[in-house]
Amino acid sequence: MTYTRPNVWELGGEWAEPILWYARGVAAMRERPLSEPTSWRFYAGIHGFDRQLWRQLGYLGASDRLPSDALRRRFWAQCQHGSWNFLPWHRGYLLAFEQVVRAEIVRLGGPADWALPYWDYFKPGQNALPPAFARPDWPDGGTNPLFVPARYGPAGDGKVFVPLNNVNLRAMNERAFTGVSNGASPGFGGVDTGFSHSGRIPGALESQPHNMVHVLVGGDNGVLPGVMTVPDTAGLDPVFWLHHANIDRLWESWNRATPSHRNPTGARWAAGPAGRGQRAFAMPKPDGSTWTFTPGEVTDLVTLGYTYTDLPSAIAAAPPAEPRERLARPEIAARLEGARPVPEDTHVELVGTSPGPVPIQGSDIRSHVRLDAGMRRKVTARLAPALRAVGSPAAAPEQVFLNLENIRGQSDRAAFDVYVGVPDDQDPAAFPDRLAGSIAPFGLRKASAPDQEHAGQGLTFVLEITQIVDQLHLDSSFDVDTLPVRIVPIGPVAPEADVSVGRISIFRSGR
Amino acid sequence: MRSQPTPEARHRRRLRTPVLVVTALAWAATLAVHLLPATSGHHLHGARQLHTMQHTNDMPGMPGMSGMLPGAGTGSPSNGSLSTGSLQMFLLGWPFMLTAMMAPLLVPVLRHVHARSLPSRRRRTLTLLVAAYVAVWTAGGLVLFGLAAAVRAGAGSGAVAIGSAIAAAALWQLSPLKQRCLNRHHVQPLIAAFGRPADRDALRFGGTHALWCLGSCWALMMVPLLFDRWHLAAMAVVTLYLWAESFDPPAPPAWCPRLPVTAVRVVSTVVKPG
Ligand SMILES: [Cu+2]
Repeated sequence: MTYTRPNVWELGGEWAEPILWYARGVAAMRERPLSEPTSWRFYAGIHGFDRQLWRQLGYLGASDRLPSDALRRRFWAQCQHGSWNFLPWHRGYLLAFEQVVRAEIVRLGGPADWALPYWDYFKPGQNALPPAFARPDWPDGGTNPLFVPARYGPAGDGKVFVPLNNVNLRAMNERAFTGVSNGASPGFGGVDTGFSHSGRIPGALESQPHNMVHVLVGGDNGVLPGVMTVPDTAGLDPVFWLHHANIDRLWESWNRATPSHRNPTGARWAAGPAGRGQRAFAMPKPDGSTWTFTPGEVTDLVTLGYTYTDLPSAIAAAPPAEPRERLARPEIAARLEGARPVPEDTHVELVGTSPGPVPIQGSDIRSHVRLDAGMRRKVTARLAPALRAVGSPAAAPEQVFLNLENIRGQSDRAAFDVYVGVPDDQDPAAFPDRLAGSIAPFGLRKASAPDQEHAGQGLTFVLEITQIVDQLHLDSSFDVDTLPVRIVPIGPVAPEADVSVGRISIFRSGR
Repeated sequence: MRSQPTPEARHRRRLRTPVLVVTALAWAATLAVHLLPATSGHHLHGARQLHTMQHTNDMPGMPGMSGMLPGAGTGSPSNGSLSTGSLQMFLLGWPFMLTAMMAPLLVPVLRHVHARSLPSRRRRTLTLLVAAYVAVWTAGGLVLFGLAAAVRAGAGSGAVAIGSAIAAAALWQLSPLKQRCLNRHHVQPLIAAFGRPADRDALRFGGTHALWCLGSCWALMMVPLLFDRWHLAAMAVVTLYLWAESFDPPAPPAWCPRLPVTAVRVVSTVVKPG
């Protein structure tokens, strides 16, 4: 049979059957003790676990017994970020979770074809938190199992929604699933890595909208982060699963947009980290057994027997979240048509960097990238003809990327808009066409800890700025020694959190 | 299954392949240096032959091998001072030994620096980084050499020296300090792109990376330095272990046994496929 995941806003009422049964399933999982693999909190621990934060947020009490060491080693702290494993791992995580919820639902006499709803915050009028999640009470009486008090929203005031000017669907225009870690695009799905519990460079879809929605929905209350804000707690929020169902839907939509949007096929992808001697992806099943899976086994949604009520193949043609003038950029459509894998002879080269680290303090940070004269000329010489030659085969198109390298800090709530080429004395809000992108370093605190998986190097974000640079070049504003880069935090970043960008750099990619 | 390399794998290979070639050459050279004095009329040959004969009673080393080993040229174990002969042999073999053991471990660092520096400066930056790395490692190597000589002198017998070095290495392997060094060894700091700061950062990164590398490897490196006859074999075993170790991700430092699980699993899946 095929399970169909429905749109949570189009179920026909606040407490329509699918969401009511979801709440009942969640309630049943919540009743199980933490140490049981099919319990609510055990499943959240599979994503990540932080003893202190769980305590502070009230998810770990003095009487709780943690799962055995063996169970924790096999299942916990598994989520894949900053990696091409991000999408397949979360797909498997969703499938397994859904099975557990469905088993509870069936046990309670609910529908056997129940499937997890998704939250499409991009659809007009649907960017607010679905109402069933927003109220403390529910039809069955008592506390609503879908309600989470530590869900603070973008302003930290408990009003939860996804501000559409902070999210976008640019990832859907990525040409290749997997990319590179050396300054050019990390690809739609991320860079070819091994087991990557807190990877360094997220893929395009992971960065936007995934990361941003986590951080803006969770927010913080000035003292503690929201549950959704931190990877180690995110799975504790019932809305996490609807968010990830949407991310999974966007993956499938990207696949359907054009035949060239293919998932990886090689053995490295198919076998996953387990094929390289690393931890296997493993999920507890309702019957107590373990489901071990590889990326190759979850690559095809149809084979898995799943679909979504709405799978627009041309989702990128109308990205709803961006200002009009940027939507109408003809290059995007042109590039979609000419979409093809990255040519083999692509070279990635550094063009310029900031003089040093850039601390994120205050509400408007001015910094500069010093450009190497030779590299700058190389970029401008190739840019215009390359764009015109988009339809021509084989040649690698000239692309320019802004890198925010090694972002570190002690806050998980940081998020910011990044502008390129806005003069220092001007208001960046007046230059929407110079917005390179909005980034949210989800998992920042852990990525900054020296003895964690990535040795505290923080997170690196890559934003394509080919169009901006081309525009600047046409205005003769790119032929300068230093190019202004403006960082505007989305919501205040506490100075004591010590958030900084290690280096801002510009890379070119092409022949 | 069609196995086309990913773009990332292609980029990885561009640097890894030449480094692996250099490593193979270094192993060949190390082997040659070991065989050299035994087969040629090297000027050290006579003197060393003599000392080795004196050693033959307790350490039946191959004449050519013990030459580069600390203490081997000193005649009696009670005399811990370094002879110029053994020091020279050490320095002759050292560049090859260092390259053979460490070059593959340097690949991620070289790749990082190559990718993140200006194309016009890549060569200069990489050269400075490697120079600083080699300088710090060589200073460390001389200390290790002196330490090995002292151990040899203090221990009286070769077996005791080797035994105590292995015990010390085992202890170090279990310690949280070792893990700390391994973790820092994974750090790829940002480097300046322009002018003097770029040179300074390249030197600093090469030097600090060598320090953490020394911290991770010194105890194990001591062991082959104390072997006479099986020096090359011990060096190969230690090298394989150090390489295997590098596959494991950073972890919180603690007293615990650290086995190269990732590498072992990779090897076991290759050995019994399916
Ligand atoms: Cu997530």
